[in-house]
Amino acid sequence: MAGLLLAGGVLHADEARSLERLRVNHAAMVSSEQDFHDRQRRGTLSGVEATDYAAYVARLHRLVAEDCAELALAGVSLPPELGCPRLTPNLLVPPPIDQASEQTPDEQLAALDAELMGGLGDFDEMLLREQDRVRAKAPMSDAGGAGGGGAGAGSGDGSGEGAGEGDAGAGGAEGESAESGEGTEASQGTGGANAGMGGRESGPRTQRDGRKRGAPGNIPNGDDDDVVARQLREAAEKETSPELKAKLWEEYRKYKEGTS
Amino acid sequence: MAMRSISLVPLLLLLALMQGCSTMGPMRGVGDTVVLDKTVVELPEAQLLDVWVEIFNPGTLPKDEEDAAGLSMDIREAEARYFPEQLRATMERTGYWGAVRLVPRNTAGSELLVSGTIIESDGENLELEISARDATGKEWFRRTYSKEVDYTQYLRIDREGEDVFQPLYNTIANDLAKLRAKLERGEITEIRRVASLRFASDLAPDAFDGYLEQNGERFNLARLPAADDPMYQRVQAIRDRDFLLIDTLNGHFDNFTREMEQPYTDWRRARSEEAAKLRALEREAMKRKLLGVAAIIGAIAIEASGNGNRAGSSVARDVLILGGAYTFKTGMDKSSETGIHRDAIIELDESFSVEARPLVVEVEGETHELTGSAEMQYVKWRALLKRIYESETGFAGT
Repeated sequence: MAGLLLAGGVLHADEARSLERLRVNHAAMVSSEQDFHDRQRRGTLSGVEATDYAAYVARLHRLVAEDCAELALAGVSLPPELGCPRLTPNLLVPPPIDQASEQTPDEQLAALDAELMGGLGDFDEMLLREQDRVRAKAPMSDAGGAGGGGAGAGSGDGSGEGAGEGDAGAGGAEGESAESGEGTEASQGTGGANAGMGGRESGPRTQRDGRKRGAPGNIPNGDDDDVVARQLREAAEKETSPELKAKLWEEYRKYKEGTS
Repeated sequence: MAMRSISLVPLLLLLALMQGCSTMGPMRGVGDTVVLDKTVVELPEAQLLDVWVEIFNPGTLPKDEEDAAGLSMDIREAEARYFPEQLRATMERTGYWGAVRLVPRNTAGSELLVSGTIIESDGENLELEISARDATGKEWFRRTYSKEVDYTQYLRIDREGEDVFQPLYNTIANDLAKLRAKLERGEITEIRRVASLRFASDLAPDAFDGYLEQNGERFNLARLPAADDPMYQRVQAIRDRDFLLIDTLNGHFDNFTREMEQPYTDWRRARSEEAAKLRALEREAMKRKLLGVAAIIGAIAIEASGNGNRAGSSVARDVLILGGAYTFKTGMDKSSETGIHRDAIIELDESFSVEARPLVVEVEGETHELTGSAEMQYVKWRALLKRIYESETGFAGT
């Protein structure tokens, strides 16, 4: 509730609702974006899943930006942890004067950041349209497989802080790299030549049993979740604030109803 | 003798020079069965390197007119996209790598870049020069791989559904996996960080000046940005879009490969079969010509021995000459039959070339269109990042 009391005083009910919605959307956006990057990095998303997921994240970005703009226009001072561009209202309303020269450095920075985020969103949408085109042009025999290189890798290699690395080295491949040597090699292949590990297809699967993770009773079983539903479910599962958790489950339930 | 010795000197010098200059590794012939090395356990994400396999260099057609008959650069251009896709898919199956993507030539930003040049490809022989270089600029290897198949192997792959040159792709993937296994964890981390910072310094050179030390083609980490560095996070957000862009391109490449797969396999099989018949006829023709010539020479020898005036010898001589002439003639006939198969090969090549060209043109057009719009977007982002950097630091960048 403390979040509802801001510097400007007590909020109106509709402003409080907007702020709450912003919090939910922001939490879902942060969680989903992080998860998206992690999955891309691990290569566990197929081409189609990556597209759907990217679209979902882009939609959350738009929703957050819209909420920020709405609240800023209403004169609500926004909590900094929500990451709203501070000049959103000014970006939406064409300035009558040279706004840049009137801005503080912080305001200029926020405006530039907002411009960058807007550009990224546009780019995402352009790529999504292109991916739709790719799928439409896929040979009819097995159109579902379009996507080629598939799931993009994400950012973040731990640069900056010496991120902890995993442990095991490569399994299987042992021995010399055979830098020299000539002639025909029949049946080379080194150790571990089976196991059916299919690279990116073999990534860990999501735990979908919501009941085990505190899903409310009216939440449907997640066995038939598509990628968007799965992300909503995971965001809800990970959320620690009971209030936000309930909101996220509600979003999940609505989404499932809308898609079933 | 002295002349011969002198004339050999330049040749020996040339050979020595060629050996000294060559960066080519050893030639590697590939057998019919090569088991693909796959991971036994799933590797931790931090130990995975993303791989970009470049569209291959199509190389040049054989200088010998007969060897080049029918082959065309249209076919080579199609193969330059088809072969790396086969290698990409093979590497992806091993589990040793992160995302494995196919990228246009000269695309910067990879953690490990695999490049290739087609040295020879005619349906029966495939020879590829493959090299791999990581983000720090270290060349892992440069090696030529070759494999020969005959048309009966195309019949086998119809049943098994894999490319007839799959053992060659497996060999390359296995070699790369072996080299990767030699890397220490720290080396893998450094490669990943250097790749990330090379991307960052390309996009925002002012902000990331001094993070990398460059010495020729080699890059070393000088220092690291803080994990919560806002500029670094902005660049990473753009890098994610770069990956998404390449994934989208891979959708086009994938469509191309699947459209090409059947006609390409049919062409290689038919060409290989015709080539086998051609070789059999050429061998037969040559054998008959040699036999014919030997018979005629034998007859002449009988004549020269002075026994030619005897009636029996005379008959034998005539039989030999006539028989030899006949055998020689059938050899010549066989030679002219080879022309039919040679024409068939040329016709097959021309037909496939006509089929492949529009596919290549289409995928190239899509690649250019997409990378063109992306490049324009990147120019805007570079300018924006520069302004952000100036706004953050108060310094005007260079």
